[in-house]
Amino acid sequence: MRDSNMSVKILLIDDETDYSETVGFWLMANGYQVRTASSGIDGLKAIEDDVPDIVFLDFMMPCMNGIEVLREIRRKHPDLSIIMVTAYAAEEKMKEAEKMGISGIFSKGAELSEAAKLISETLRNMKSGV
Amino acid sequence: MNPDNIIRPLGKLMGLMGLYSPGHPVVVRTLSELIDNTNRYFSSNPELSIGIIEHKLVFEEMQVEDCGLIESEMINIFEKAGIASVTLINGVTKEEMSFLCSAIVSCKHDMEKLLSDNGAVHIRVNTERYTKIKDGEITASEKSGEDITWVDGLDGTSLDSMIRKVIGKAVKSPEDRKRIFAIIHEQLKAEMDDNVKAATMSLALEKKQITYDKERTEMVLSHVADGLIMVDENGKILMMNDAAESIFGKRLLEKAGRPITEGLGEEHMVALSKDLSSVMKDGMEKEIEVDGADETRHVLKSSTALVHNKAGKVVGMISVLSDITKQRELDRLKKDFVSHVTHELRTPLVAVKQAVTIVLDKTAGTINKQQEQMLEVVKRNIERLSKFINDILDVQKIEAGKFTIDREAIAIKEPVNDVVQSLTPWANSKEIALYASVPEDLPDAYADADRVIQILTNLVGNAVKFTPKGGKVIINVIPPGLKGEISQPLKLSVIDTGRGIAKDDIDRIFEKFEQAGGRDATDVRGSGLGLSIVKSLVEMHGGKIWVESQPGAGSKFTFTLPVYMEECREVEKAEVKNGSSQDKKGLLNRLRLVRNEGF
Repeated sequence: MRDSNMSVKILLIDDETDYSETVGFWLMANGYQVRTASSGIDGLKAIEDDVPDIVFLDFMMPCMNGIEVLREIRRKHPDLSIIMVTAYAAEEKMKEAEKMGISGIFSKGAELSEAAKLISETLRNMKSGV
Repeated sequence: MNPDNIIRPLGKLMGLMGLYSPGHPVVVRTLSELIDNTNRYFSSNPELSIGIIEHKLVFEEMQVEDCGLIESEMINIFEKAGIASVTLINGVTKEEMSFLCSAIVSCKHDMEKLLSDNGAVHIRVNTERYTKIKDGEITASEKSGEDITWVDGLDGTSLDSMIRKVIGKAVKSPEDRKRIFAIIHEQLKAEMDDNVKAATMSLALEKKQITYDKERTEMVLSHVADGLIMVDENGKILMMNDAAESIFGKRLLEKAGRPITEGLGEEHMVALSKDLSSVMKDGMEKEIEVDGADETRHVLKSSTALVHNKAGKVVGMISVLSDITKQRELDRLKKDFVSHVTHELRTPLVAVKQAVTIVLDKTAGTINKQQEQMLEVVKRNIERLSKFINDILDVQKIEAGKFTIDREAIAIKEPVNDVVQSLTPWANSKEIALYASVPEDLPDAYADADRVIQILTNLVGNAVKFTPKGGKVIINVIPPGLKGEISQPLKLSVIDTGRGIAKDDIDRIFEKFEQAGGRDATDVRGSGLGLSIVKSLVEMHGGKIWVESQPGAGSKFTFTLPVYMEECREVEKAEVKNGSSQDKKGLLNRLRLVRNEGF
């Protein structure tokens, strides 16, 4: 399992670095290649440097919020798999994100195993071309 | 005894009689004081008299030296009523005293007769007029009744000819007749003048009283902090107080007598005038938004009542406008604050939770048994805190009307099984048997599956929490019965063998921050919000929730969910068309509102 994760590149974009680093540590421990970015702008740069397989993108961030970052990513990478991360997002925002095409929504309070499930689902869909 | 103890309450009472009804507490209090003091005086005296001699107040033939405001007011009242003195006799009652005062104040004539007619036997009144008459009194003929046939001829003649006839019968000498007639005529004229004067004076007093009452009412109205507008049956403005003027930024002088819709021309005035033109009940309340004089938006609460005349015909309308802008602003600030704080609390909490999880699942290396136990405590309490914060956010969303449900046809079996599955490990750890009984061939429910899971998780969670080791928790689904043509809803019950709920707690158990038996339930804590959220969720589905319980034996929470029917599909389509169920609801409400306003 861990070995199969080795080639999967994940980027976490979240201004709450305590959170992103904790989750990042767990994903790394489970064999994924993980990078973190603490703002939307840093995240966009990180994507330009090396396009990841999956992006975990936080909804609520200062300066540039998740929706704005998502819109920016979609301009250049219409097919990049993005999982929105939320503490308690308003439903209208979720809908807006869903319209722009996302692979899933991960609740910050959920078990980490849920994150792993979401990743493998996304990878499966990517392979089958959904 | 100090005469003041009697004079002061008596004077005060006379003053009060002109202002208040006899039943008013101030009047009643003063009357009691007066009677108490007179009774004390009567313990050593048979009667007491108060009178006026040469514009001075006299108490028991002693002039009252210290003449204050009350005393001089009393002198005025006595003189206006033409009273020389009042004598109170031991045994005088409150009723007699009250009658006396109101009679004096309203300048009633023939006070002596009035008092005796009304059975006020413990009061004597001496009027100046009486004294005068006494001086010139003519004693009646002792021989009256001797020959009275001429009396029949008196009928229908004028007063003058009556007197002439009577004198003609009684007096022989024409000279004497002339003289006596002159005396009687003179006296009659004087008395008539007195009567007219007294009547005029009482009319003037009454008019003064009415003017005073009117001024007082207007004063009160104009100083009311809320805006007040009165219109007549044609919608023309009769009066607007200061507050209403400042709300609308218009002077009454500009507006008086104008139709409420004319000139003001603003949308809120139109909104107000609609009250009149539409069919309206006796009173109504609504909120309106207007542009204030200071060019800011104001939220007003308008309470309107129709004014009817005695025949029940509408003769006008009165609207009270309270400016609730500040209150609204505070509500908004409070909500924003709570939402901000809860979000800020949540963010660090999830980081802690995930970090603890990583240590606990030994991803970050091994830990010993004790460390693991301590971290379990940390994790459990973080979860409790998270649940509480989520509940607060849910309650807030519900209150703000932002909580949406996505209803569709669902097989109720699925959410029921989901909940049983997810809560079974916890129930097992407490050795509680958790199972569901769902009959086959159930019709689909029309509900939001996620919310049904939320409802059931809450109810089953509570049941497990409050059920002791070895107990049972059952989810029971009851198929809908048919009542006439209309299909009944599905019933879902969560039954436990827990400690139950006391009768007193049952009514408030669905309220916010309430936990049944919270005081002795220190071992089991919750946010106290769960059931209030559950109730809102059930109601959003158009269902009902109730609880039956027997302390010590267990509880049974039952809620209903509507069955999916053809009509639901129509609503669903409309929901899709309108974006969300919330919009749909809003539209429905708007439609209903429009219908209510008679468009």
